[in-house]
Amino acid sequence: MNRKAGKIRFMLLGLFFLLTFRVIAQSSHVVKGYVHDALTQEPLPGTAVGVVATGKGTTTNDVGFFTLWLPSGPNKIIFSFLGYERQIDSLWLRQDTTLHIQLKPTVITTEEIVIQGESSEERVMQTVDRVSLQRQEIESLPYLLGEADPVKAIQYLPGVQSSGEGNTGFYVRGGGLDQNLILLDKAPVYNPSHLFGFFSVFNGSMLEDAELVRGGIPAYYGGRLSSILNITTRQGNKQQMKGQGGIGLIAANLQLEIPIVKNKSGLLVSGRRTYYDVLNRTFFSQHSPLKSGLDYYFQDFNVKWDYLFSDRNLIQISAYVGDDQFWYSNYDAFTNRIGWGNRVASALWKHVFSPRLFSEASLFYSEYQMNFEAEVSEYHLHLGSGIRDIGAQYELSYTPSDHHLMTMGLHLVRHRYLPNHIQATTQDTALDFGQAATLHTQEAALFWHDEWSLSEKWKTSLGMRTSYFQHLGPFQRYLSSQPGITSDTISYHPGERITHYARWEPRVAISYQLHKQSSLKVAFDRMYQYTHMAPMSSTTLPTDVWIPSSSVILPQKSTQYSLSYQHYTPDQDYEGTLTLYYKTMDHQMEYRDGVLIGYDKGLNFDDNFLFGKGTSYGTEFFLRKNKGVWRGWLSYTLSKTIRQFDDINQGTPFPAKYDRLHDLSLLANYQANPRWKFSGVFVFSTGNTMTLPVARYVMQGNVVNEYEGRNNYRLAPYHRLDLSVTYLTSLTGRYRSRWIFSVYNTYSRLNPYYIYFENEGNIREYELDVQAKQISLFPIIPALTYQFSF
Amino acid sequence: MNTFLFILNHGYRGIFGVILLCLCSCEKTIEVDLPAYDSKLVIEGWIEQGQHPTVILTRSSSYFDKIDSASMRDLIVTTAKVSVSDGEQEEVLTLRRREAYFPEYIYQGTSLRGRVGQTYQLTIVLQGKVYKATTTIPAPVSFDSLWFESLPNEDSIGHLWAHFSDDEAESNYYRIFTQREGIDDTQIPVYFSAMGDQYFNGQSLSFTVLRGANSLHQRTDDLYFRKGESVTVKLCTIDQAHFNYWRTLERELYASGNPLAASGNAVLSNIQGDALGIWGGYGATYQQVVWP
Repeated sequence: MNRKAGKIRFMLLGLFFLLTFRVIAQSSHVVKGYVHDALTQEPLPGTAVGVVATGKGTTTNDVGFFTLWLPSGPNKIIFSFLGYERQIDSLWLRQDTTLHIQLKPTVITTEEIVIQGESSEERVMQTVDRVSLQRQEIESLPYLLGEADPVKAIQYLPGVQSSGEGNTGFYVRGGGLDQNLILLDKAPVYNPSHLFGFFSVFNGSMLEDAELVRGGIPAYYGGRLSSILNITTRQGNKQQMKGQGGIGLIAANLQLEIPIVKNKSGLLVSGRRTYYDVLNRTFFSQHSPLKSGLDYYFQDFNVKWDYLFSDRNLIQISAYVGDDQFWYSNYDAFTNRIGWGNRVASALWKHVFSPRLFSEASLFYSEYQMNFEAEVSEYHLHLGSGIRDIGAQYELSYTPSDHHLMTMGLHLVRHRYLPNHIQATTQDTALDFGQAATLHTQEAALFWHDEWSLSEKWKTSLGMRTSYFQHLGPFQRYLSSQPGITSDTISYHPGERITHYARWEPRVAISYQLHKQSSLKVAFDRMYQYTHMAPMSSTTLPTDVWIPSSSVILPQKSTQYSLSYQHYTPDQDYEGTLTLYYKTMDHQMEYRDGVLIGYDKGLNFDDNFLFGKGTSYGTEFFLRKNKGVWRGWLSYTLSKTIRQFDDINQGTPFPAKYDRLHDLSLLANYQANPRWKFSGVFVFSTGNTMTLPVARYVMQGNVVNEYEGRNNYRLAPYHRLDLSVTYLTSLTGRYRSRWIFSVYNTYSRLNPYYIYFENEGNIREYELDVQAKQISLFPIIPALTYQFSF
Repeated sequence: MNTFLFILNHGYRGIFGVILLCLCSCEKTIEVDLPAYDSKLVIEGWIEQGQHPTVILTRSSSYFDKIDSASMRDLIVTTAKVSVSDGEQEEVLTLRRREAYFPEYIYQGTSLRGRVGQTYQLTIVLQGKVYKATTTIPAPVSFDSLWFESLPNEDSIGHLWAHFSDDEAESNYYRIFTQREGIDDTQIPVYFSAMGDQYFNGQSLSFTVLRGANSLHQRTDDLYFRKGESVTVKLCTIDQAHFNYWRTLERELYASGNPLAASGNAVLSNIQGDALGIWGGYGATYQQVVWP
């Protein structure tokens, strides 16, 4: 019955579209075309295409394609894209027309610090809460050790908090580290960090655009509760060979752009590697403590190939391989090796069926692996974990009218998880940590997203995502009547369905234009998440393990309400956004008390967790200056994040580890003249919470800590100022180069990283004094980077 | 087994140490304001086969209260009524002073002795409050053999090795202590002294016995033994609740102050009533091994 009604409604809807289509068609002509970069021939997605007479317009899609319906007779169209010269085309329309627009880059002496994409009118009416940062604006910021890192720039946005000093992990609106879907050219990346989280795997020079979506989330995104970080890498130049590179304090990178077919196909290859280990081996003597103590490197390799087969078909293939290798020995008998890395690949095919119908098909592969090995004399310990995804997504976008866009599609992914698997051998025995328990799951989602400008003032974005998850065999579930003792085992055959979940994820966003420069938006987002990571500590670590939902671990669920007001000054010089949000999260996970990896086996992979709720609410303020020699932004978040678990803290709600009342970032760029540019970043945030002991007692001659209350202590506030200065050595010619000098933590604030207690004296002699010691990671750290391009 | 836990623990610490080393970290002493705390009773009680039950009672103190001989004596509880029952016989323990223990005041029985397979109930009455706990003494087992092996580059320092066969029929929990003759006053628990057979059920295996520090706050020369030492190794079987206590307590001792481990973890006590600590039965065997 219901289905029938749905069918009828769908048909009526279809009829309605058809009618509108006809009405428009009678009095207008189609103007369609592509907008390209005049030099590189790269398509320019997001170019604003405006009709002068009516003030209306559109933007180009992902392949730089646009369509407009215009009346017969004289028309004037403006094409504008940031960083390019504005172009005005006058034409006399008698019939349907196709345009090929080439925009020339403005001779910009500097890197833009403007966040762009759409025109401000477009953004006023935008329903999605998204911010995108482009390479130029990310590059010249000051960074830790001078390594440009898009993820760190993202952390300066409102509602986004860094997970810790210098760390690439981030929290969005009270959500955990695992609640951010990080996509590299459409493929998910599971542990995007190098060097224990101090650098992200995203090579700054490869980046085209980093987009973060926090609210009003379109239905084609899903699988995580809090945000989607979409990293798009650059396309290679299609006209001439180009190259660029850089040498920094810890790593060097080189990138080549090779045209394969002129104007149609380009290849971009890029590599980055740290050279600490090379220097170490070359310059330190055999007896240096460093030489024998540790060795470390990380490396990244990116490739992107794209081919514009025709005006209607674009194919892109992108791949990333990166790994970290760490070797350490603290005395002659003990050695420790840790290696981890991601392998990510995706293929994307964009196809234009007609000016109103586009499709996008993608295949992706993502793998993360970690191996931890330690040896003491005859003992050998190996701990391995990993996750592998193979998936596909198909999206069909249809624009029945200039005011209406529908996107529907299907998302499929197979996951294979290997949670911690331990192998341990001694002289004569292999200890039994059970078989490597590989877990197999599948996720599928059907989505429908509908964006409709109902009138000049109202725009709606409705969406529905139906997500489905199943956990498949082979799998063995051990049942126990008392902890640690197996009383029964249930075995599942390969491919047998063990548990499954199907969930509806409705999304609603409505935007109302108050006047030309300001708008009000409300959004409702329901999200589900079937893959989880419960981190041991607050930093992202290679040892963090991803696990799927199961009959014990229910899908994480979030419900978010947000309201925002956005305003632009008439000249678009300034823009401001004020957002209120309220978010609840269910089935949140924490490790059971007393779990240490390897120490508590648990019979099943999902035994060691506790489940509870999370609530986060707050207000975000964002003020940005987009033009002039001074540019930058101020972002401030006032928020509260609370968790409640029945089995933690006696069921009493406690602040999340990353609950920070205040979080402020101030970012400024000053272009003094074509050669010199100055940048600064100031951050301030309330200190993290920590669980500290409240008492101590003596047990068998040892002093033992006693705790009361989870996260009962707050560290001192965090604040820091970073500065950088960029000097261009040449302004003309093919070979360009520049120096970036940056200072991290300029006034050397000793920000608390963690606190520990040191006992002095001997309890048996009745003399014991305790002192609280605070560890801070980075004092002032200057860095010099040289970058060149040809 | 315990060696692996040690390696893991050490490995994680190692990583962190290196991070700190590489990233020029700084350390400073700070003032910390902690919430108010009400002192709790701390019970350290045990009963071994053939031995009288022994209980030490102290109180916990607020974190920054300085511990010296005067304040420590205030924390020793000497006015409790402590009794132990095996279901048939009940004995009220008497307070004594014994220098070998720490603190030096202990409650000890004179007639009741531990028997293998028996369950014992501890009842403590203090200032009108009652604290109860129950434990059992499992059947004792012994090592198949014990021997020393010197380190690769050192002739005079080495590991103590033990060969051991686990009973496959049931879940077993163990606790190991060592005492060096003429050096250690008491039996000192080894590193990760509490272990369960979940990873080696029914197996016969060799492992190193990592000598524990006299006190964890003075780790100067631990792990190893020296040539010429004569060592008594005490292998105890314990019940599950007893095992869980030492497992979680040791975890807390090793993990505290390590930012990579979850901190603030509950120590799983078997005491009923708002008290800390353990009442544990030991099925013990003592074996002597000499490194000539």
